[in-house]
Amino acid sequence: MVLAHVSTIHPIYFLSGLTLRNHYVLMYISYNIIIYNDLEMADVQRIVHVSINLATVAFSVGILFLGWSGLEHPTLLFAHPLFSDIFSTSFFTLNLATVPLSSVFLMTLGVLGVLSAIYGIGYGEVYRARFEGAWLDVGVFLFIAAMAVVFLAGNAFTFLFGWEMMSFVSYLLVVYESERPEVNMAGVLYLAMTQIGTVFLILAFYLLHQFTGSYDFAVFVHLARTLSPVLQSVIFLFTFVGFALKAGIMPLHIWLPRAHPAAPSHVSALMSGIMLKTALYGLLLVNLYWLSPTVWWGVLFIVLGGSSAVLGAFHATQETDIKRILAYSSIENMGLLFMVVGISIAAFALREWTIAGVALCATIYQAMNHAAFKSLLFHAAGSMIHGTHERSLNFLGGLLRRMPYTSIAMAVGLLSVAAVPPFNGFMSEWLVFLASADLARTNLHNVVGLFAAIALFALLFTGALVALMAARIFGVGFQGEGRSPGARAAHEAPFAMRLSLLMGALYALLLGLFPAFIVNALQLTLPEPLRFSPVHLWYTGNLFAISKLPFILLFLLVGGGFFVFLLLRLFIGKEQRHIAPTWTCGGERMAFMSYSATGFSQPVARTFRSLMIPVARGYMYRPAWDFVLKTAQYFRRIQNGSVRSYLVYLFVTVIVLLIVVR
Amino acid sequence: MDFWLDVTAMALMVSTSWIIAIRYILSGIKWLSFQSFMLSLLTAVLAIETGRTDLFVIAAITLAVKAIAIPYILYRTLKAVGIDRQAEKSFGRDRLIIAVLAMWAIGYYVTPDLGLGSGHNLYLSISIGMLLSGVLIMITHNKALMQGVGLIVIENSLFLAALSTSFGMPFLVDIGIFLDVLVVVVLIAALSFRMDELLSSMSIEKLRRLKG
Repeated sequence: MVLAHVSTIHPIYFLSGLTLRNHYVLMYISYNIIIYNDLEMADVQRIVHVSINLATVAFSVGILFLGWSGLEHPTLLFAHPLFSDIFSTSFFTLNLATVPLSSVFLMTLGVLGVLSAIYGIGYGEVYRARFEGAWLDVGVFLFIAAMAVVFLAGNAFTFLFGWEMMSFVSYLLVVYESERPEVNMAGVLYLAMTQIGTVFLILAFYLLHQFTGSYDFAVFVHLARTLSPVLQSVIFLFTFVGFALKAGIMPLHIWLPRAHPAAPSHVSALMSGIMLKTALYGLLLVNLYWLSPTVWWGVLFIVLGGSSAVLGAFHATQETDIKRILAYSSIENMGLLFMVVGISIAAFALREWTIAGVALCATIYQAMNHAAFKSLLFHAAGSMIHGTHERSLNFLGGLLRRMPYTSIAMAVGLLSVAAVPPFNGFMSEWLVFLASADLARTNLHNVVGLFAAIALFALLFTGALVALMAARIFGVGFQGEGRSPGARAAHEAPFAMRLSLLMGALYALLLGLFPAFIVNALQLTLPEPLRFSPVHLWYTGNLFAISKLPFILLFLLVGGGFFVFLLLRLFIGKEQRHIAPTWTCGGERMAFMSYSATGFSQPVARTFRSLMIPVARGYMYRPAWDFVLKTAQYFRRIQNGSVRSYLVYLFVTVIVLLIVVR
Repeated sequence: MDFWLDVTAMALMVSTSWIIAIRYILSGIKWLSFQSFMLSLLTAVLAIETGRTDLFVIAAITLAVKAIAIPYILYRTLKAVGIDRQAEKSFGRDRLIIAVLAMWAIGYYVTPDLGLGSGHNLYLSISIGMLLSGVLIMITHNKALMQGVGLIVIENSLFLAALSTSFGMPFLVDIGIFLDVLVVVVLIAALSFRMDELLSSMSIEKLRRLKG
């Protein structure tokens, strides 16, 4: 009995020794427990599961503090050449350092890591029945570590190493539930797309190395601006394609709505919340901190970002799978971020330092906010799926009564994503709005102003669609009656998940409540010329006035609504209510007769039917696939299966070689 | 003795050039038998010249296996499927003759001058030319039996190459090769017969029909 236990836990025991030291100790303890107390197998699994997740929490807290200290004091943590005796090249040097920009992302990663690991303690219970449940926890830990490497990277090798590790581990996590057929397809697509992206990144780093003679980011900061403008544009294009693939910008997004719903929910939260931000981080680093941007880069960012924001929001209103909705919402938010980066780059190129600074500040702030509320939303969605075993909004409903904690978390997340004032989505979008409006105002005579104005309208339009999406999720999913047995028998999530949800909601709220503090901190991350003093924000002479803004606007919103209500009451009078049974053609009233999610989105679908052009599928992937097939046909003509043609190839090769070698 | 070496080498060239252009498979087999016979003669002459006994044995085995056994097996198969079968060639006779001449030229061109003052090793040139012509036979001829004939020509050329550079390969290796060639020919014969039965043709292009 005892022996059997020891041998079956062995793989995990071995693995833990490989990955983390403190976990090793925990494992050692549990190992002893098995021997002396003869625990049941399930208990051992539970201990393994919880201890790995607690180690992840500890690791994430470490990352959080690393980011905290790196914000003011850029530090070199580690620099050591690998295999120096085998390769004489300086390429293989592991170099970990913090810069202020990466510190912000590191802190976000730390917070998200803590939330997801705590959530994973509860959520992993489902998977613990399979012993591979522990692999999920190890995977999440490695995923967080890989992303930390990306943010900490101080040279090209470390960055690409972390990037590839992140892609590969996230692929493994995406295909974790591989018994579902669509998951494998999503995983393969994701892996293929992310590898294509990496090719472009390698090309960009190669060019940077070729013309600066170094792989170090610290050298790029000084030397990259001296490269010729054409070369800089080429590097920009490579990084743009490579990072946009990872960020899920519209023509390159096809993997995202498949991969994110396929993964377990806390992995989706990490992927959507922070993995997409690694792409943003890379783009900011290369194009704003190293190269000197040109206006057309910004225009490209605005056009692609704006279209993905609008289309992503539109698709988010159309889908019914809750996690697919959130995935499209991530595309929308990444589009928004790209749009602001575009504003910042255009302003940078036009030497409008303050606007560029505000836009960049807004970008980072919005990235933090998106990480906060999107991870919260994915966690809440995971809790819904956990409690009801349903993924489609059409089969949910009435969860407000049965899952109060999840509902609160979801409500906070949805209010944030819809940018309602006291919550965190609002302040950053307000800064975005401000920067675009400023750029449009100062470039009225210029074509760039037009693009800034387009960004402004895209922002407003997106906001409206996102509000609809939020109302749809909450209205259909949480109110009314349950539309399926699963939804009617829903149960609240276990304690760890509830804890994570409430912490996430609190985090989202805190980010929204103290904008002045955050904007001040973000000042540290901006490049020197872009730092702005609060007086430059034209609507206020004082940065701390920003903090009052959410409350003022909230007051206006609530007060305005109340005022309208009063006016209606005054002029129309008290509303007349007749309570009567619903007429159901004589049949019995059933839950699925109520307004469904598909029905809810019909008005938008009808109005914007023209937006539903399959651009990516019809004009990019289908022709590319056809091209591959056609090329394969040509190859087939060579590879025709006739022995004699193979002999001919051999014959010609031999003769040519004989003549050449002579 | 050099006279007889030259005569046999000439006979090898002529037979190889002729096999590629024959009309009936039967004459192809006859010329193959003649070629192998000439090869065994060449080996015997070389054995007399050098006085090595193993070369005598090799010459005898060549005669027995390549000049008699293999042509006989091929002949039996041909008789089973019809003695008057014509060879089916992808190109006309004139072009094939020109191609063979080109093979001899290439064989001569690519053979290295070893710098021993004796000029080219002409026998090596002939063997490379034969090798290429053998591959050419396999490429241009459509019938499965002629593929077998081409294979034996290639084998003969390699044998000649070994003879001309180092008086043959080690004895055991030679014996092994003879066995291999015999097995391959038996297989080709059996498969050609089955092909003719199943597809009523020995044309290997028909084998495409078997593809899934």
